[in-house]
Amino acid sequence: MSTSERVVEMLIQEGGYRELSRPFLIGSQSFDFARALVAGGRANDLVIVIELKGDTVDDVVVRKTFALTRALDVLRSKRSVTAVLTSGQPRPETILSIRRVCRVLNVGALAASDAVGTLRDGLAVLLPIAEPPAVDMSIDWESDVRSRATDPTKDSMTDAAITAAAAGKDAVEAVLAERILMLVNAVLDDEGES
Amino acid sequence: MNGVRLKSLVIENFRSLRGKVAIPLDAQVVLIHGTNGMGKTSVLSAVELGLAGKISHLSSDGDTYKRYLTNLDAADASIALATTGGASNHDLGLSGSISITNGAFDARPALSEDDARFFAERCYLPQATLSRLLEIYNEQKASSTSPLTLFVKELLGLDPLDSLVDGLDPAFNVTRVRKLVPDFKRLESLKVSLQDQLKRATSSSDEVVKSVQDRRDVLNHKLAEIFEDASRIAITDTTDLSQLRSIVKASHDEDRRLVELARARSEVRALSDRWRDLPSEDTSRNQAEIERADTAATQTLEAWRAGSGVDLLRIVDDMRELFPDILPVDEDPMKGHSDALRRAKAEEARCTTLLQNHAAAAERVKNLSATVQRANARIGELNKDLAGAAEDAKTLANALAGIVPHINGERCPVCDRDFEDVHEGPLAAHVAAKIASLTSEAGRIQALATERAGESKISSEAQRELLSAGSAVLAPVDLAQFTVRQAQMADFSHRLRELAHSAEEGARLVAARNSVRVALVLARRRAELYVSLLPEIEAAVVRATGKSARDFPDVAHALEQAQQITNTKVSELEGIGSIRIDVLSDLDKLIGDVNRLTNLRAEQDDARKRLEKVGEALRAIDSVRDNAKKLSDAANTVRSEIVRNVFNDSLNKVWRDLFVRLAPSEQFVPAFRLPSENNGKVEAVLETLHRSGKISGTPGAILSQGNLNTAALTLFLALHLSVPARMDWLVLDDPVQSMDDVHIAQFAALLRTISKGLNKQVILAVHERALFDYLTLELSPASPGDSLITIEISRNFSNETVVTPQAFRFEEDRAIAA
Repeated sequence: MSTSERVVEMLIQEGGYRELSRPFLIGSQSFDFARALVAGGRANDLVIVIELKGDTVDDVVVRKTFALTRALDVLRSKRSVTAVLTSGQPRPETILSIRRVCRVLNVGALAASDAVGTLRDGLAVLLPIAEPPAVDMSIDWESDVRSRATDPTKDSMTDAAITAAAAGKDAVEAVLAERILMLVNAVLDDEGES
Repeated sequence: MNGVRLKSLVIENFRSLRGKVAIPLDAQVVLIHGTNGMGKTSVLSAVELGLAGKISHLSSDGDTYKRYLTNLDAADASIALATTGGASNHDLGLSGSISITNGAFDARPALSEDDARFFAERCYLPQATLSRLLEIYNEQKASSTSPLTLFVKELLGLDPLDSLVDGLDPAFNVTRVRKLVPDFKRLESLKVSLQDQLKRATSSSDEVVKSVQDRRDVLNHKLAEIFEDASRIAITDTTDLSQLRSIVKASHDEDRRLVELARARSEVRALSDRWRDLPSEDTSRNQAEIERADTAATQTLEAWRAGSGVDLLRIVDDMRELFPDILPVDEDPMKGHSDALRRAKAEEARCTTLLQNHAAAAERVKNLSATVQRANARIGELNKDLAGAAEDAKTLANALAGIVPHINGERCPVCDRDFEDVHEGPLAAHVAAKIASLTSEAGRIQALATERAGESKISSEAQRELLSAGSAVLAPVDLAQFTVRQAQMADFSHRLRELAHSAEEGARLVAARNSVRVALVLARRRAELYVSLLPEIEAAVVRATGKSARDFPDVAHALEQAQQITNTKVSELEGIGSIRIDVLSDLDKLIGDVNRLTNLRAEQDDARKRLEKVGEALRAIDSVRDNAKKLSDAANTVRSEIVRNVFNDSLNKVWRDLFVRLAPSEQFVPAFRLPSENNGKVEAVLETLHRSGKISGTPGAILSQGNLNTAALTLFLALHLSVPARMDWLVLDDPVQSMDDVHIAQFAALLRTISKGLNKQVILAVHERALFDYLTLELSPASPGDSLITIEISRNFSNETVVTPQAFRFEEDRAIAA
């Protein structure tokens, strides 16, 4: 699978993009890029994928991009354009030129290892933010603690301490102190009587 | 508060905003543009003030900033902020206001303090904070309250786990257990003291065991001396000591024997004494002679009695009629004679005196009787004279004298009659005459009475004398008897004087016979004693020596031997007695030792038991501590896991995602690193990771300034996204100042994703016109309901702030055929 295909696949699957037919029309003008996608839902991105192959002429790429953005301007479109460069490395001037009119993501060719990760990093700006799972205050740490602190003597201190934990350090300390004091007093009281 | 948007803001003369401006905010994205100094930051500060009532990043230095909030050209300032209603119909929206009048700052913020803090920390990024953000979060403090740590704790809600870990911490260290439970120390010292007690009891009991053994050896030795059958009576472990003691005590017959011996000894001693005290043998030899002399003396005496002594005897017998107690003359003629003579003389003298007294008394009685008769006769005469006189004449005179002062005229004060009726002169003169007559009569009576008293005295004295004189007068019978006896006694005296020689002779004879008789009695007594003593001596000597007294040279020798042998036996017995006393005392001590041993063993057992109990309690406490440690460790592990998970899976992931969006070509990604040591402390530090996963240095050391800025910005956004949002607002003050074009393009895309993808209301101020235009394009509404407001801040000719808002709505894009 070529890099551009992977780009398209990721944008469609993870970003909710829709691929345009090839070539596609802006107004009455026809544009032909390796791939072209538009965002769905609440975004209005237009993504064009440009494959830099051996026979690619940089000037042509620049001109085509300029033409596209110019056409959008003429139609007073507010779509923001992102150019994804795949396969080969572009010349710096090419990138500088294109960047004046659109966002450029230079993905290049993907290495074998962690191709998907690298690609996702490269396209990240086009992908929705995975909202982190809200950190639940009431993470069930209690059962975790219980399962780790298996208490062979079935001492109820675990329960008491966990209950007291909500009230703060002093409360837990009090539970510990109470347990120890109980044992101490059992003997000291006996001694006192005898 | 989710779903609530900031709606409108009215500001007047606040900081660099001069005059009154109204800023609409009710859009998904609000872009604010103004060249530097126009008041972008003032607008955003106004938002914070309206919501929170203070400017958080300035208030760390106190409230002095509040003095500079009013525009320099104005006196008063005010801010009014409103939000839309929430998702619920009842939620009418919040409003906050600030008014600064003559320097008085009055804030009615829209948010509660908690929400305000959340807004200040997680929703609002002032420029000043952005540049310091990494610094703030990477600050390493000794305490566990660095901002990062606080954030982490707040984020994770680890307080209960911290409490658990910290609260159980004393269990790890016995010193802290002692501090936590002061009585624990008492328990420990109880253990030590019990150990000491046990040790002492053990060593004492060892000593006592040894002492018991020693005493037993000594006792067995002594018992062998007392008892012949020592093997039977020897002490072993099983010996009943008190029984043995009573045996030893009961079998002590030496006392009885000692008593016997003492008696025997004193008997022998007494016998010796008596033997020694026997009268010498000489007296007994001429007993017969004495008998003869006695007979002779008796005969001579009898001859005297019948001869010359007979007169004496007769006289004394005659006198005995008058003097029954007169001494007899039989035994002591001399004494009897002189006694009789003395009595006869005395009686004669008595009779003579009596007779003389009688004669004198009889004469006196005669005289006195005459005197009495005469006096009595004169008294009779005087009595007759006195009878005529009024006895109380003088008393009456005195009474009448008392009446005289009461007589006035002729009227009698006693009977009230008129004295004139009597015709004897005046009443007063009559009374005076009466008084005078009474007074002279009294004088005569007095004289009579005095004389009569004198006569009466003479008479009574004479009568008294008569009585005493009468007593000396003898009765006629007595007179006759005494007269005869005087003569008789004179006769006796005469005769006795003549018999004086005969009495001497008799006395000599009696004395001679008596001396002979004493010798005789002595001789007879010795013979009796000698006869009675011999059998006693024989018995005593046989008892003491086992031999007859006859086997000894003489009685004295036999007695001496008996005495010696008895003494020896006594001392032997006394020796055994003292040993027995020793044995008894030793036995008492042994019994004491054995009892003490029993007590000490009981004490040992007790100490051992108590020690066992204390040990159990200490073990139980150890087990409690172990449980606490386990629990603490478990809590620690769980906490570490949670922290690790949250940082690795959540925060670092989000941060990386955001950072990569803005700096896609940066090979180093900033991240939180958790110290690998599992000491329970949550202290995250910042580091960078190469995209390959390799750990590198801190962001400051690795990243370029631009990317550092990016790291800070994305950190802020990551923190914003990592906590459950209380409010979906994100207010950013010119965060792109040091970004290059590439970053800006990426940033625009990121803002769009956050606002449209995550539905956050974004308020962003930028100072660069081109960027403002670009963002306006990039963030323009892309779907129905999406909205954008741009605010242009500038000044008019009179230097007042002018706000030019522009609202963009969604317009279907027809450039690209669907």
